[in-house]
Amino acid sequence: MGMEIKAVVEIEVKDRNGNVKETRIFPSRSWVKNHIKTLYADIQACNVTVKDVNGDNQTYEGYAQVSDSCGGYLPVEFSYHFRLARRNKGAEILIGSSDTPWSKDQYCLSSEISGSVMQRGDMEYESDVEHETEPYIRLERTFTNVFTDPVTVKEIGVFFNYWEWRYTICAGSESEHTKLFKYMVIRDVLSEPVTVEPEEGLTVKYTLYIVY
Amino acid sequence: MWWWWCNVKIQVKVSLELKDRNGNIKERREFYSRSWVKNFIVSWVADIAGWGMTVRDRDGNERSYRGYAGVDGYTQTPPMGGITAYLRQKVRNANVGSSDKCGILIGTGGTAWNRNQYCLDEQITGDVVTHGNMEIEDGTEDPVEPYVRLKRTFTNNSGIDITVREIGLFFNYYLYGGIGEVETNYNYMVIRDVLETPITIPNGESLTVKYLIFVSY
Repeated sequence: MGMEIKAVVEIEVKDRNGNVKETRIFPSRSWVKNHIKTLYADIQACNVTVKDVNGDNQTYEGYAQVSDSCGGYLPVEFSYHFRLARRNKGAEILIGSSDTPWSKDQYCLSSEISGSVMQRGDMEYESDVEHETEPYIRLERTFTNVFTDPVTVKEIGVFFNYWEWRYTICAGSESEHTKLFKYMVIRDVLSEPVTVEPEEGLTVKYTLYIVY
Repeated sequence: MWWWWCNVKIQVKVSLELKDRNGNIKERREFYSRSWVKNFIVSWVADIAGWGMTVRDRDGNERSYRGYAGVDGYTQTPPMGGITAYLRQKVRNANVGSSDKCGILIGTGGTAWNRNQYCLDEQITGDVVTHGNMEIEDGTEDPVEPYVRLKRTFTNNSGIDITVREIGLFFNYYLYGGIGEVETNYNYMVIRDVLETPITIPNGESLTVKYLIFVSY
């Protein structure tokens, strides 16, 4: 079948002492439409519309540009700071409590679990582009149950952030513009829910890799 | 590997179509591409992690690939009429018209693939075989296997037969930031496939190569 890009998910539940209670590994089934749309935009260097995590249409620019002008006919001071990231200003793994079946048109988790219930650790990245057979990038995040009751996780997903930022000072006048939206690229519904007791941790890893 | 049973996949299929000078199809082939090279995974990691990574351009030079780009600048004396500062970036562009430096390219070399390669073994340039415009089709709404299809037709007007043994896909990276700064602009190979059986384009005939990048569930 030739080369493929795949994704595998690992889930690990640890008790409050850090002991592993449960480990699961399974294939991710579920790129959603946003992913292939952004790939098309990149290759065609055009704009496409993706749905952000709130369901709003957002423009993803395959040929991205941030600009600002300082006009007039007077020599004035002009300073600028531009930032641009299309797939990441912090890729994120999020978790949810719904088992609504996956469909490729989905743009968010069905019932996201908030950070005040399952505290979100920092995103971690690991990559081995030199791996002999399966070069990969791994995304990892640990969630800790800071709630008083057990929390049941039924869905997980990967989200990218599109970010444009502009800050300029022209003739002493400041101007700032931010375009930031989060869009889902993968959603997986767990075949069996996983329950995380209070003070326990749930680590979710997505490994995206190439198979030759 | 222990995750051999994975489901969702992004795959690439190649199709070749040889036509005579009257436009009649003489031969058609379709096969799975085997061969992302390292540049692809490096640029992909850069995008997802927001890192700066290094890829090799088609000339073998190390180039900066930025998944997260920024620029800072300052000027005190803009010219009369004002000034505009930019940060512009394309990272995976294959919409390159008829350029023979980027997009789908073909070659005569049969050196076996390896993932560290950054160019075709022996590229057939545009002065030998006319490179048609790159065409890119948006199939992202396909209900079963959403896809992006890249297509280019090569016409042999060289006066001799040309034998193609390798094909590849090249993207263009472009970054420009600030006022009057130097552009970063280079082409880098992401896929190279060596044909199991070479295909010959007789003089006056054409070869159409399509790369179909698709998601299968």
